Amino acid sequence: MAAYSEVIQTMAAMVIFSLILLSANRMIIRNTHMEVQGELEQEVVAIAQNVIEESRTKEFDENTQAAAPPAHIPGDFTDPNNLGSEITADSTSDDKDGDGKVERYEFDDFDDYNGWQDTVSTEHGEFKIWAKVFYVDPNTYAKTSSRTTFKKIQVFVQNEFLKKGQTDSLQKYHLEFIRNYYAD
Amino acid sequence: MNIGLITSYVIAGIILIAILSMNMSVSSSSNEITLSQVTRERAETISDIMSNDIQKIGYNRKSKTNPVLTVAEGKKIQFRSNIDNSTDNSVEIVTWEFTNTAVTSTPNPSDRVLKRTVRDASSGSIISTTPFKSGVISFRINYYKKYGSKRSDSLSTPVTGSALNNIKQLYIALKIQSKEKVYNGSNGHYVTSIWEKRFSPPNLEF
Repeated sequence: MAAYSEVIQTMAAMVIFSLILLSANRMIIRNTHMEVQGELEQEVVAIAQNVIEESRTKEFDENTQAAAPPAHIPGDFTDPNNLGSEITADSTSDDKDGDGKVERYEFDDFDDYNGWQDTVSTEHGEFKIWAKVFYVDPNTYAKTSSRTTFKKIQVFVQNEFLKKGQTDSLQKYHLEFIRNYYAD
Repeated sequence: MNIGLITSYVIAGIILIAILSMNMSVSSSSNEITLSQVTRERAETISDIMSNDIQKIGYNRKSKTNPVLTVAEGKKIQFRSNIDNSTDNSVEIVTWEFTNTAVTSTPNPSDRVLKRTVRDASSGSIISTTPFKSGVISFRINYYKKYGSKRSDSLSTPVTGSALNNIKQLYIALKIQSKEKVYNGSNGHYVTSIWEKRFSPPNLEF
């Protein structure tokens, strides 16, 4: 038995070392994951900011594009249930090229981004992006079903490599911006 | 000498080599994440200044400048703006250019100087020159005449003449590498960070 005591001790050392090795490997994987996550999250912010900045260049509402402001503010603004791009038979239609759909470059007011979605190709791969626009209460900034002079845009971004913790479900990032009609 | 002792020495040797190898891997991983963080911070410094400038393309206190964009090349952009928001409405000419000048102070052979220059529009004198020697290895600008165009549908550069007035969006991609290599095994590599963004400057809207 004495002859094998060194072997037994060495095997015990191997077991302890294996546990340390597993832990070190986990740390390396976590580091790599954090590195990739940081790089992709930077991209997420840039993509969402782009949409928000672009939306800010548009008019506040479909009915505020004329030289004169509407007679009733906010009563003449678009109905809260009809926020989004408009396809109509007259000249107010957002479908400028007449192809039956309103594309992003045809948007002419802030709420046209409501319900819009796209997949953006970047150096870091593809990102799914979509947006919601709605009226918010001037005091609480919470969503409201009536017309106000405040609108909020929420931009959502997802990437196949950005997941919620250790799960397989994708992390949904969202950035938002509140716009005031009188601040334009 | 008994067989058990010899075996245990051999195994102990293997374990020692494994410990050394593991130590190197952990150390390399830590170096990489630190360098990655530093590289990203550098990219952020440049992107903050650039974002501030690009959003103000054509800005002046009462109306936009005329002209707005003066040079629109793949590696160079020049525009007018009241960048310091001066009350006398004086306009500056801001230029961002990715030069071919190598950064000699770093071991990385690929990095070049990215230069920001601000000139007084009326006299042409230089107000400030900022050379960024932060490991920039690539700088690209694409120009678009429609909002949300695919990345590949950019205008061919240089954009000149009246076509400058058609530009609605700009896409800027900046690739930055660490100054030092990270070694993992025999071949080291530079840690790379990419920052890219599409801009919709308000003064290019109309």
